[in-house]
Amino acid sequence: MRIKEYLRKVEKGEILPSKEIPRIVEKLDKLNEKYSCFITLNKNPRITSKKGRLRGIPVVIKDCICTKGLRTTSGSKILENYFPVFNATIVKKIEEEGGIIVGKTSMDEFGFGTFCTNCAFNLPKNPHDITRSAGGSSGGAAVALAMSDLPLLSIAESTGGSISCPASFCGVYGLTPTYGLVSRYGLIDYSNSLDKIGVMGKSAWDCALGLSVIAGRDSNDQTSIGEEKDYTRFVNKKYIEKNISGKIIGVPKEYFGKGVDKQVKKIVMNAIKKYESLGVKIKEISLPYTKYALSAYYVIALAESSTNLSKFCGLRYGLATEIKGNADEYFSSVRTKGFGKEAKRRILLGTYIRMKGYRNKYYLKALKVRKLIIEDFKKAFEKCDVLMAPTMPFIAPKFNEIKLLTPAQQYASDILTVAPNLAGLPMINVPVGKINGMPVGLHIIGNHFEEGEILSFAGAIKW
Amino acid sequence: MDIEKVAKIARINLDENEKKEFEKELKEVLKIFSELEEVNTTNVEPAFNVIRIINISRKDEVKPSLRIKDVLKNSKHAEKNYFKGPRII
Amino acid sequence: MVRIGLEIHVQLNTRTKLFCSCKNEASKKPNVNTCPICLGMPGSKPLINEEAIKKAIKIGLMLNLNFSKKMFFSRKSYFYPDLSKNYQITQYELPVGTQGYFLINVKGRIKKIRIRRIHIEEDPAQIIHVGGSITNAEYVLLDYNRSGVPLCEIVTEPDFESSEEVIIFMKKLLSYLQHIKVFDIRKCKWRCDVNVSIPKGNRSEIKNVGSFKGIKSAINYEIIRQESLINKGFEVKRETRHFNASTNTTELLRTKEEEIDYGYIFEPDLTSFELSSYIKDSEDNMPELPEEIIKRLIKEYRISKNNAEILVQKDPLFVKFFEKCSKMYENKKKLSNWIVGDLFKCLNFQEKSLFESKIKPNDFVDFLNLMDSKKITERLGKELIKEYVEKGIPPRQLINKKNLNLLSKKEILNVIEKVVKENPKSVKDYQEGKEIVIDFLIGEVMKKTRATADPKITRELLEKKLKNK
Repeated sequence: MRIKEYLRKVEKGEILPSKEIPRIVEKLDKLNEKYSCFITLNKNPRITSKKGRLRGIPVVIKDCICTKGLRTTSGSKILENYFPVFNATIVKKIEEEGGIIVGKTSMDEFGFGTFCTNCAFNLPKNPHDITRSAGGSSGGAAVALAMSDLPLLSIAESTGGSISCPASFCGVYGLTPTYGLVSRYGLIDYSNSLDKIGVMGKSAWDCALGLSVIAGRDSNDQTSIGEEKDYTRFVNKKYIEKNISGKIIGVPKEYFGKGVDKQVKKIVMNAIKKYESLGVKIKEISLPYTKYALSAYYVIALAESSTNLSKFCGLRYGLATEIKGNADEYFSSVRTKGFGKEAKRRILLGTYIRMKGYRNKYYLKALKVRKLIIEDFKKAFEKCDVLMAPTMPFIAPKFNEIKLLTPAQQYASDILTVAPNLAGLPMINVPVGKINGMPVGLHIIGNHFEEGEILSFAGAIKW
Repeated sequence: MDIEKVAKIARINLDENEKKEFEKELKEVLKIFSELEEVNTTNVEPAFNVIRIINISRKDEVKPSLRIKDVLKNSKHAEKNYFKGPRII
Repeated sequence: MVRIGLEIHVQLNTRTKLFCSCKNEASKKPNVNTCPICLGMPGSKPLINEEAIKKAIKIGLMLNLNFSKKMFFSRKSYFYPDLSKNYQITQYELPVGTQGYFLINVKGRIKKIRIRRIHIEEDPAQIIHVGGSITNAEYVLLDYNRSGVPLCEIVTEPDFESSEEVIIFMKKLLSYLQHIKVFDIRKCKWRCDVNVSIPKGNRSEIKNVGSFKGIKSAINYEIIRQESLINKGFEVKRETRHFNASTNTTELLRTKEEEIDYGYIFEPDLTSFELSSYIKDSEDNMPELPEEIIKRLIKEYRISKNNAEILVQKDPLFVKFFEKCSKMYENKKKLSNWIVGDLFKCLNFQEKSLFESKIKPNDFVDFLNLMDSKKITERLGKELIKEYVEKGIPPRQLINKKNLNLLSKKEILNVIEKVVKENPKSVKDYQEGKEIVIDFLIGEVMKKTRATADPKITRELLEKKLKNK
């Protein structure tokens, strides 16, 4: 059942959340055994009678977002038994609108991964083929949606593409809003200048509904900005018909290069061409700094995340070992035990590029290159309304293929998503086709605060 | 990269195998990062924030603090409402 | 020539902490003024306090600072149990401002101390070393009440040449910080890192000295230590040292090679700041600076420069006190003399502040009136003020209690009779020409009358009596 229909039935009284939710949780529990997309299932969720826009809707939340009283691990052993004493702002907003939090979804530890294989707990499996990756780092969020017909709203998070990638691999819609539009208060940080909370759904409308509830400036996050508004109207058929004709889609040539699978390029290009029938023009453009986006992204993300992870040292919360030895010995023992390999890798790299003698070459340099990449996009949006490209360079790889990749090769898989994420632009993955049964995603990227625009494009065609 | 020095700063213990493995992997990654040197960034301002917002601050007004039981809720080592920790030296 | 520079940390007297709305207040109960932000809980975000920025700017105005066009916060990473995030949010490349100065008076000479920069940062938590000191404790207990308290760090150039200059500077600085209402000596703490170098040697940094006594001892010990090394032909290395208050020596903490690499990055959870609107607000709300107050007191009240300076430098409350009294009392010179003279002396001797003594302006003025109307002598006044400061009881009440009003001529004569009777030898000596003996006899009258007899009248009457005998 879709969310829209479920909401209608709840309003009519045909569905009683108090009875339906426990049934849904039971189903999720069974499916979880097969697909491993939950770290924590809320087996006894509090069902309020709030008559909001999400009345009675079961909501699943990526486990890096704090839910008061409900275990939150950020996919890491170092927070295996952590129970936050406060709610993230978006959780508060969802519950005020009647949404019911039923589970915390699997993820790469602290967001560190492209394939959701760096998980301290269960490893989520792609419902289209369980020998393949669900995409990362919000793998569980996408799998929870893709694995059944349940009317779930799935909240996820993106730093360099962590919403777009799993949405693409699992064949669902995934919306990453403009940086700052959704409050990060309560989001366990990966990289503070890059993290964005977003929505996954079975349709553009579902994403629009979710965004309408969670967006808006929050006094608890001083980098948040923007109005609360209704985004579902942008997905309204009449609205789209009225507004879409005459718009220009920019297609960056750098996103169709050698590193992208031929078949993926074909499917995505055909999808883009379909918009011409709606009176939309297509224009080839260039984003010359694209090739530096991967490095600029990783340098900044690693620098910030290596400081964010310093707080985990066994003192005030999280994994703790026996107190013996001095502070340095204790901290090292806790951190060595609690962090997975990828987390350690990123902490070491992130620490190195901040050190005296390297800081200028890497960290400060990357901040400047970031500025140039943002300007690249700004120039493009002077000529185009949206940009379109493949979301990922290939379909979901098999787990045994991933094992053969070096870390550098894994990082390189992000080439298509890092640049818009670096620039803080809003983007949405639209599932537009399949290769051998595996989903292929179209990426629609908009200018800052143009969520309405990209939702309209996403909702304009039924794929 | 002096991996031992970096690991010490980051408070992570590595065994000999890990040191070798990480050194190799991280070298490969750093090679990619050095591409950034090709970019001409003369007169380019670093991007601290993505969206331009300035001067956001809050009023100096007291709000309730956490109850002590919530403060200590997730700590394994507490003593008389203090957090307990290892000696410094 | 010794070169000394300071890095001074002062706590600001805001109501709430720097990055959260917990009370900026010490408490005997640990961890009662804490929240997810100052405890560094995952998911929390810093929320900068506008009042802290305004107060730091007031300090900048006081120090004639060049304010930065753009101000930004940074993360300074290092691991320590008192740092709730294992990084401190501070300012590195883009502080509040740079290149200011502060003038001090060194033995009549005005000396300019250049201020390199000031910035804002958060205070860490408090550590209790259980079972020993920092070097041999068994474990530690942590209280995060102080975690996140706002600090302003003031860095000087190495323009000091002696510990005396440093102390003159620190006293003036702390007094001025109170005047501009950013620091409250009763609640706020301060501490210094002191950098000392002598010619041909590298500089040493002595960390966390928190008293004037400590500053003097640390600097003097360090100069001797460095000089002795140079004399023996050794190198004075770049070091970070710790001041041991019990032995009055400095001890090695870290060598240059062991220096911590703080891996600074810009704090992405806070926006950047363009200070012009904050500067305007602070300028408009800037309390009078001490120099201005001194000038004004001299001009408006015609008191001496010396008295004006002492009034201003002691405690901002003295100026207020003086001005309130002035409204009720004509002779401003006399008023300022009594305050700057006997009142100060008694307060210092009894180690009380004006606030603690509970002395009120109208009672103090009444006290001066008692002397002016000759109800009590000035000499008695000097006695009474001691009790006044000690017990807080106004002199008028003290007098009534002890029946200490000035005696009439008749009453004095009665006492003189007694004294003359009791001291026949002295009387004989006087009458034989030893005129100086009369002082002794006057003293006896004073003793008996507890100084309620006017000395001049007593002398006249005594002389008459003795001559007539």
